[in-house]
Amino acid sequence: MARVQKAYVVQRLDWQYNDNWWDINELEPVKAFTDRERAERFRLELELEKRGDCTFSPAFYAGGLRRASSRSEAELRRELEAMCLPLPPLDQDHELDWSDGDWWRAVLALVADPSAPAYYARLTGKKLSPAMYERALAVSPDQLWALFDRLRFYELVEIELERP
Amino acid sequence: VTDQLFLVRLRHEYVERDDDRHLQSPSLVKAFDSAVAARDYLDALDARSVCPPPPISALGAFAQLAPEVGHGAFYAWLRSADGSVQERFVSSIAQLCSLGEEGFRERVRSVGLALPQALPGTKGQPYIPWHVWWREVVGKSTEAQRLPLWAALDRVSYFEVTTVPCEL
Repeated sequence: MARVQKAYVVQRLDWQYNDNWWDINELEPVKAFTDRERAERFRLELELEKRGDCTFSPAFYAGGLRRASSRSEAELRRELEAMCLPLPPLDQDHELDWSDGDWWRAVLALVADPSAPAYYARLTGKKLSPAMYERALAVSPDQLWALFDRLRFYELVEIELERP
Repeated sequence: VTDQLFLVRLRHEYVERDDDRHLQSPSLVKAFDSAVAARDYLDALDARSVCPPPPISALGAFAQLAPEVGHGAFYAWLRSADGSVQERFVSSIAQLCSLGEEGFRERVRSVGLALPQALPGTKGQPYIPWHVWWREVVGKSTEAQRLPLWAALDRVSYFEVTTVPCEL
């Protein structure tokens, strides 16, 4: 009689450029585990490494804000404001340009580097109060990425493992 | 300890354009630590003598009857008359099913499930969200109801075996 237990498979989401944006083109199993915690640690390690290489904004990468985040634009705006982080610049239609790569790289630099206050002033043309600046610096890159939860580079899948 | 697992999974389905990518079903079906056991399970799935667990959808992101830009045009791996399998663009249920579309609808009725309703599309043409129907109706049905539907979709080669290193 075969024993059935769980396996946890880390899969790479292979985003490929389609002449307009990146699309998930393939799911590639990378490694499987029988321990969920070890699998999640491995997935996170790969995810963080890949994020470091990602220089495009999540909305540009995924092909639109709705494909990059489960949050509405209003929710994202509120959350960024609560974090005291700058909003994206306006585009020619006076809409927030979430696909702006300069904005994304600057915000990432701001939350990753406590010695980068100039970014905020350059982006917004204004200075934060010391208290607000502290709040911005308290935001981790993870929290920022979490706003764009639909853009993932690795996923963890739980499936049945049948063993003799 | 590092070993190898054999994963039975859905063949890759390339979605040409689908605004809600999250409607796609998971792709991994089951893992085995023996190539023979994985192959046996694959053969049983291909013969439609078993069906995969409910999260796995036979209709992926398939959401239309007539081609309509913006509604989940997709490709499926179809069996040819010579037994080979090729990835082809699919625009109707009839391409997936030797019973034809009406035959498939009759099969759905025969297992006691409701058929999906047509919705107005972005260009005014009605379309049928088969992918949502599978997830919300077929995905919640019994195995006895699901198996005849998988069997009806006989023109599709859905599954394959792949390997992955495993830390046991």
